[in-house]
Amino acid sequence: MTEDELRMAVSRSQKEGFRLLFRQYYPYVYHIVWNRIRTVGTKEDAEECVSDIFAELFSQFDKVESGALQGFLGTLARRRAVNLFHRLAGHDPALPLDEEIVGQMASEEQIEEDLEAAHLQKTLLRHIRDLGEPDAQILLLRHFYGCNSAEIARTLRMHPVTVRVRMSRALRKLKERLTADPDFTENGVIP
Amino acid sequence: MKIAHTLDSLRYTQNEAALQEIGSLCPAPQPDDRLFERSWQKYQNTPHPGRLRLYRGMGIAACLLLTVGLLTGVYAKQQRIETRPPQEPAPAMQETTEETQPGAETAAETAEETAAPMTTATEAALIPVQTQPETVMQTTEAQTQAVISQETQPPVTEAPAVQPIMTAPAEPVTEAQTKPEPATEAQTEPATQSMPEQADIQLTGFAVMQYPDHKQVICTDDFPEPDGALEEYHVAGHSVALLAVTDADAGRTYDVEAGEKTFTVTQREYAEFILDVEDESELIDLGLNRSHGFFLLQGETCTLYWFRSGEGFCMQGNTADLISMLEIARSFTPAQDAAEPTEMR
Repeated sequence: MTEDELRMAVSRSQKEGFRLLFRQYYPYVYHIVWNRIRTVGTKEDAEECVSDIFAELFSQFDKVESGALQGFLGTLARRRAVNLFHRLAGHDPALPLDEEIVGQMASEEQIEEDLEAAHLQKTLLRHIRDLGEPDAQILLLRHFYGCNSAEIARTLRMHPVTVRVRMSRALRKLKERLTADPDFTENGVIP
Repeated sequence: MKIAHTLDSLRYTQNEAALQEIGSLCPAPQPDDRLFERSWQKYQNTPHPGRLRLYRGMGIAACLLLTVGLLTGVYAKQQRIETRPPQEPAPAMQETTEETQPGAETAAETAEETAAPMTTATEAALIPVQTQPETVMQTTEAQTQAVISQETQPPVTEAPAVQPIMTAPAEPVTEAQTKPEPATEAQTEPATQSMPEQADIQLTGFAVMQYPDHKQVICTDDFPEPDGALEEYHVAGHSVALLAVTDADAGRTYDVEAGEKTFTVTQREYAEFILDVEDESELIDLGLNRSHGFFLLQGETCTLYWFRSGEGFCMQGNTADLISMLEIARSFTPAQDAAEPTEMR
């Protein structure tokens, strides 16, 4: 649905309109929030934060100019996610995230490890992409977003049992491919 | 297990390229209605923007009211301070003032009590009231009219037949008699402020005082102590005929016919005679044998007063009846002196 269609839906029925808006923009907002807090928070933390963001959007919906809905939502999500990250990590909110990241990457050994990890992640993602849809999505939803079978099934519009079966098969296939990849075997990632 | 651990590491990656790869490979999870309902409930519990505006407006209005109230109070205080005398009296002066204030307050209160019913006439008349407050005959202009109207009606039954002390019926004099001391205190200052002067009019046996807005006629006779017994008079003249004599509380009245018209003469005992008259009134001296009196002309009304041996006579008519009234006055002779004729001086 376009933004104008969503606004019309809200004008007809506020709750149903907001429900459509929520469904449409939830992945976008969740992605922003999760990418910010995934290292320190849980899936439940992200869901709570997302629900707060949408509640605030609902209350300020009339003030949002036409065509600026997604931008407003993205800005709001980032601010809320940063605040949640600081709260969960116990950091000083006044300290910029970039400085923290720089602090974490201060040592040369750490840099080498990160480069090596980045290379492995890139290779891993290539093998995952080679699995094709929906196996790649199932694996990422499970291991990156932390979703369970039911949530994956709802996202991919599949039956939960099917999700579990395909996940099992996808893991087996991925293990075979990683075992054949020297990057992983030489580094001892895959025995 | 190992491969699962490797996949979980993706969650903690800081590699932007890896994150972009993940974003392109996999959509974010879809929500369920439970999450939407949670957001909806939070939205419902959030104060409505309109309500927030209302609260904010009420707060601003309250602040404005408070500010205006404070400013008004400060301004009023400042005004009070500015209206105070520039120099505060010295402590000793303050004490003196405090000591003298009770008396001043009493005088002021007394003045308030007595000033309201006072007329100008009674104010001036209160000076002799100090000495003999109970024996003063106060007759204001209005009282004169009332007394005369009573006198022109022969059967007066309100006052006792023999009254040693003649008092005017008007209320101001009554109040002055009941409260002589406060009235004296209160009126001493106004009396000195508007000190009367001797008027140009000369009346035999009377002193005429000029006040700013009226005149006062005071009989200078030494009135004997009233004993309640009025002397008997005969009325005898060429064109005068006595019709009836009536003893009443206010005195004795004589119905006398003169020139085809009947007049009523009132005879009274007086302890003192003070009469306030308007400035526009005309006073005409009247000389009689062993008595003295005057005409008081007010418009078309003519009143004749004359006194003899501590007793006073009063008669009222029109200015056209002046000759008849004079003839009646001349015809009044004490019974014991009936044989002696009265004549104009």
